[in-house]
Order: sequence, then structure tokens, then C-alpha cells
Amino acid sequence: MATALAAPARSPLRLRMPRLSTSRVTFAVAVVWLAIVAAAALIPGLLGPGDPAALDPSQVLTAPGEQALLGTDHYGRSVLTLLVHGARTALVIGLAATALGLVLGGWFGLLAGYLGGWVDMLVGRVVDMLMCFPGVLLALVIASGLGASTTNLIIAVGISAAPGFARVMRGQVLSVRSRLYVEAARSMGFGSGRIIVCHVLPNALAPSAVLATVTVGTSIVAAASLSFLGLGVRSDVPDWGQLLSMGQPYLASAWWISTFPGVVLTLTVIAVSLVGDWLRDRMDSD
Amino acid sequence: MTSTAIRSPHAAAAIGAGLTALTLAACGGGADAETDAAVEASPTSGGAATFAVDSPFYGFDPNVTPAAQDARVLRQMFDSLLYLDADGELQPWLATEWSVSEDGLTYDFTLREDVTFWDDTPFDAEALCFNLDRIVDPDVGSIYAIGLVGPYDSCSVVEEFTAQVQMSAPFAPFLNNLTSPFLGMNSPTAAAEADPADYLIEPTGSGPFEFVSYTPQDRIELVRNEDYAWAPGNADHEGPAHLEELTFQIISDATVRMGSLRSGDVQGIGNVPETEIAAVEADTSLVVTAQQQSGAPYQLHLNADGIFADVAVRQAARAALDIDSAVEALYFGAYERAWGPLAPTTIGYDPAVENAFSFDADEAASLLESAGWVEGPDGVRTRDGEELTIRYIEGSPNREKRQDLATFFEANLEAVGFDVEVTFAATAELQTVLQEGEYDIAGLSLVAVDPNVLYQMYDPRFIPVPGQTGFNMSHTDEQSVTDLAAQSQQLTYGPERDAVVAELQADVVENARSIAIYVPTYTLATNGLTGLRFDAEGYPIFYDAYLTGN
Repeated sequence: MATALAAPARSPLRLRMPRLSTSRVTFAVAVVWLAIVAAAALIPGLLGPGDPAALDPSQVLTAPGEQALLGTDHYGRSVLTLLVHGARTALVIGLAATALGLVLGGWFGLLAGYLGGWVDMLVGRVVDMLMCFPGVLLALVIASGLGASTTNLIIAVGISAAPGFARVMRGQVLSVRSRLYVEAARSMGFGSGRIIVCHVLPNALAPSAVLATVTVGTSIVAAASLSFLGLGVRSDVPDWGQLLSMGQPYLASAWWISTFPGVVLTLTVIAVSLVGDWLRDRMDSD
Repeated sequence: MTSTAIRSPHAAAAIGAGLTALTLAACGGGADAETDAAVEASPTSGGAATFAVDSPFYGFDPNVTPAAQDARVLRQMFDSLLYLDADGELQPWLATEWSVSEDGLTYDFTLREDVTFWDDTPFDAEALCFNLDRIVDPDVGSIYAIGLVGPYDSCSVVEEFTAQVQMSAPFAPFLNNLTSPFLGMNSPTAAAEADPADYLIEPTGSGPFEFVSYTPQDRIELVRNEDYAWAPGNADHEGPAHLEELTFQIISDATVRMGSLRSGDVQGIGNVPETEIAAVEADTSLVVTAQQQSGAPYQLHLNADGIFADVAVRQAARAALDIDSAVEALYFGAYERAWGPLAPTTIGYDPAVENAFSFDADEAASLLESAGWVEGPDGVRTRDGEELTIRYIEGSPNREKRQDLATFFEANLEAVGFDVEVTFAATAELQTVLQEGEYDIAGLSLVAVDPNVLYQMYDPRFIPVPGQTGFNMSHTDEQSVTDLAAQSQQLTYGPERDAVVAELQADVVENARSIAIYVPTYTLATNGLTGLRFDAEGYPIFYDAYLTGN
């Protein structure tokens, strides 16, 4: 019978690829996607041909198709080219803001956790206070106070990410601080500075590293949100957030201007957090 | 005293005809749909309609506010002395008869005797004089209406329903201006009692819809005036309006506005997004109408105190602009391209300005070349070490996509060697920049029925200075232009005045004092509401409108 015969024929194939689980496939897809985004940021001319700033009134609002793969905006520019050229801003802000948040938050968390006492109290209360604000609101307040520039955008998003790092770091330091090897170092008469840098920090860093990967994604979104609200940098080539807001009045008639930046943002953030998940799994098993 | 009754101002006929033709042309399928609906359903009385507009209001004191947005509400609440019919002829409304003396200084009006304001104050000669005196009262702070009454001197009550208005100089636009909603009649009792600031947001008129409440940034609610019995002669019915309640709601987001119309939450919207006009026309449940506005089209004014002092540089800038492509790309045919300082539906518009110049980047380059501006290494032209840098200022938010026009024109100008600094500024900052003259290009459009806007735009008296707003944004100060503008004000309607107005238009275009871009057009769509009409300036009239319930 056909069914009886077909079943055994399929099983050897399954046996040959037992490691191809869903999570591995999604992880691979995520890595490929991030590689594409990174390539776009490094050599935009490769993926998005043409001058992204060149206007063409004869090509406005062309639907996605042969002429323009992802359509054109209301100035006749290719949405694909704009997305590719906007990748660098997104990645730079995402990475730099995360680095700032990690260093700033991590440092205060480390001090609070290691020193305890009034330092812990003070840092703890400030972090509590900052965490009361939704991240984007905090970034919004900072960005509107500082004015629109890429550096200020990084500072705004970085500061709003810092409290999370401070908390994670402090918790981890508290558990590491009482470990035997730290006690041993202290009993050997090492100074606080050396203990923190050589013994506590390396052993308390792992959770923050996982948090950092996820934060890269949320920072990209936060920066895009600020841009969407008009706090981004006005330049010839819009970033992803600006592209989203530019396309908003055309949602009903030219959905592609806003939709593709939205899709790209979503995919990038999902990809980053998948990589973060994978990293966490690896660190847990170690 | 010899008097000449003005019943048929020659030039006014042109605008009426123009408006009608335009409405027919612009409506397309919409006009047919409206006719069909009218045949199927006879007007039903009652019901509530909401009309969504795109931007906030300034206020509702017709004597004070300058905003076209407000006029769309004012038209429902206030009656005028006269109206312009479809042929552009003046017709009686609150005034039954009128005449003007031969020297153009004295106007006589006979008024209707059965009109009362909502607060039961009767409308009489005293009320008319109160309104005119109020406009020129500095304490009231009139922004726009004061310009419509021109050299108004005084008003006297001859009999209870007869008044005489005295001008200090002939002012031809006066009678046409009286048809404007900005010269609607206020109740003297209510207006005298209230503080001007309070009256601005709670006025009292005699119109078919009475003011109920106003929530700033949100809505203004009106209710039917049950005593109304003095509709103008061109209305489709008599007596009270059909609609029981009428609300103007502010929905600034175009997508939400369209959605609210489609879902039936609102029965009409203004400012239909240009990209959706085709879709709305195809939708049989919706009716779309476009009304070109008369007055000055949207123009870029080139500040002659600066790099644009040289007429060759101004002409070069104009030749550099690909206006056709930009207007088509942004408005998809919803807005017509403009050519001169007057919109085509304005009295005295001269079609000779059309196609007087064209987009020619090579010509722009050679004009600049011969004016001494040579190309530098980075593409920016220089002359004696000075760079060809211009400051282009446009308002924010992005009204009628003017910022997008700036983006296209920036690219056009940079292609021929200008270095363009574009700034988008909100009202306060924009006013400061304009008053201090810290710009080279600035955009402006004005709504009016009379070509007197040319005087406001090119007479040196209206050059903006710190502390004083003015519409002469090109900083034009030419004796020949000033003389022509003065002459056009004093001539009565007729071929002689048209010739002067034509000469003015030709001068502005020839010297590229300003560059006309597009004709502002008010687009409006309705769902289940029919019977809307428009006045001569293109403002909607809801008096005859009724719900068709689909």
C-alpha cells in the first residue's frame, strides 16, 4: 500500500538530519539577516544601488515591482536604497547606545553591588527613579533637552538603557562578591580595585552581555521612535524612523513607504534577540 | 447727489463664470453623483452632521480673525449685506438696495426689516454702523476685515433701515468685499457687552446656524436657528436650515479623517489627501468637490534686499525650478499649476502670464554666468569670493505639502549652482525671520475676491519689519508698481481697471518678484450629506445641506 511504503521511505531522510531543529534554523536565519544588515551598513552601494538622495518627480509613489523592488517614496527615491543607506545610522546608534548603557549602568551597578551601604542605597534609588519612566519617554526628555544630533541620540538612548544594566550588574556582583575566590583574594590582602577588576567583573559580566545583545535591538527601536517623533537628524538620507514617519500620511495610498522600514526594523530586532537567546543558552550551559 | 446703482460689475462676471467652469471641471464623476442623489431624495429636515477639518481655528469673530479655516464656520453663522451670484453679479441679502456716488466716496444701503440676531436684537442701520465702526476700532484688533473696508471713514443712520457709509478715498473693492464672511454682521448687543477676547470664541450673529459651544483644539458645535427666514436668493430653500445640528471637528491626521468619513463617523471632510482623490472619486458612496480659491496663489517671494536684488539672479532661480513636475508629483492633478500673482478665479486675472517662462536649467546657468556667478570647485557658484547661498524658509507643520515642494526646489536650485539652506519653522519663529528679513525665499498664498491683494503684496508699505507683519515678502519697492497698485484701488470695475491690474501682473512676472507655484484648492468629500453649495471665495455653505442616510 502506498502509505505503508511511503512511511519507511521518509524516515531515513529524517535520521540523516537530526540536528536541524527549528531553533537552529531560526538562529541561522537571524544570523544571515544580521549579516545582510551589517553588509548594508558597511558597503551600502552594494545592496542599494544609485544615489539615495537623488529626487525624481517622474517616479513618485511607484508601487513595488520591476522598476523599484520595494517601491518609491513621495520624492521618487527608491525605498530599498533608502533602507540600505539608513542601516548604518541604525546600527551605529544601536551599538553605541548599548555600549554607553553597558559602561555607565554596569559601572554603577558594580560599585553598588561591591561596596554596598550608602553607595548601594543611593545608586539603587536613582535606578528605581529612572526605571519609573518608560524607556522611550526618558530618551524623549533627554533628546529634546539636548537637541537633534546623532551623538545626542546615542546619549539619550544610552542613558535610558543604563538603569537596566545597573540592576543586572548589581545583582550579579552581590552573588559573586561572597564567592570563595573573592574571599580568598581579599584575605590575601588585594586592594578593592584589583579585586573588582580582576575577580568580580569578569565573573559578573555574563548576564550583562546577554542583556546587551537584546538592548542593541531595543536601542535601534528607541532611536527610530525618537526619529519618528522628529527628534532625529535631518539629512539628505532619512533614517528608518524618519522613513516610517514620512510614509505615515501615505499609509492608505502608498503603504510601502512605511511598511518596509517597519518590517526591516522588526526583523532586525527579532534577529538580535534570537542571537541574544542563543547566547544566554550557551552561557547557562557553561 | 447723483448716484449710480452698481448691479453688474463687469469684471466680477468673469470670476463667477470661472468658478462654475472650474467646479464642473474639478468635480468629474462627483458632480454627477451629487445630481443623482438629489433626484432620488428630496431634502429631509433634521439630523446632525459633523464636518472634519484639518487644522485648529483662530476664532469666530468675523471682524477679527484672518484665517480661511475660520471662514468656513463663519459662513454658517453670519449673514452678509450682499452676495455674488453664479454670474459674479452682486445680489441683495441683508441689504435690499445699494448705490454708490459718482465720486466713489458715499455708499447708501437700504436694509431688510425682518432680520433679528440670535439674541433677538433687531438688525437695522444702527447695527450695520456698529459693525463697521467696530472693525476699525483699534481695541477690537481686527486682522483681516480691516483690510476689506479700506479707507472707511464713517457710517451714519439715515432712517431706521437706511444707512450711509462714507469713504475717505475711492475704494472699488468695497461692495465685493461686503459679500465676504469676514464682513458678516454681529449682534451689536452681544459684541458691545463682551470683551473682544471672549467674543472671539463665543460670537452672536444672525445666520442659519447658532453657536452652541467651542472646545479649543477639538470642535465647535452649532444648532439650527429656528427663526431664520432671510436666506439669500440663490439658496435652494427658505426658512430654517435642514440640518438640526452641525459640528466642525478638528482631525488633523489625513488618514484618520478619511477613515472617519468612510466609516460614517463624520459626514464630510475638508482637505482630502491628494493621493486619495482618485480613490474617493471611484467610491460611489462618497462625493468629492474641489474649489479653487481666488486671491493670490501659492508663490515663492524672492527677497530683493539681498542676493536677489539682481533681477538676473531672480530669473535664474525661476528658470531652475521644475515647477510642473513638482506640482504633478505632489498633488496628482488636484492642484493646478499657477503662473502669476493672481489665481485664475480672481477678478482681473490676466491669462497672458501663462507660459511666460519655462523650466530651463541651461538658461538658469547662463543667466548666472552672465551675472558674474561662476561655478566653484564644489558645484556652488561664487562671485568675488562670495558664495551663491540662499536661505529658503517655509512654515511648519507641512501645510499643503509646501515643505515637500521646498525639498524638490532645493534640489533644482542646487543643480544650477545655488547653495540652499532650507528651514522649516513654526509660526512664532517664522514670523521673526520674516519680519527681520532673514530669508531669500519665502512662500505665501492669500484668499481674496479682489485683485487688491496685489497692493498688499507689492506696495512698500507692507514690507515686513520687526514688530509688524506684512505681505510684501519680496521687499518690492518700485515707484511704478506702487503707482499702479494705487491706481487699481481707485478705479471702478471695468476694462480700465483690468488693464492696470494686468500691467501689475505682467510686471511681477517679468521681473520675477515672486514665482507662482500652484493654485490653492479646497477639496471636500461627503458621505451621506448632500446639498452643499459654495460662495464666491470657495467657502462651503451648509444651509441647504441635508442627510441622505446611506
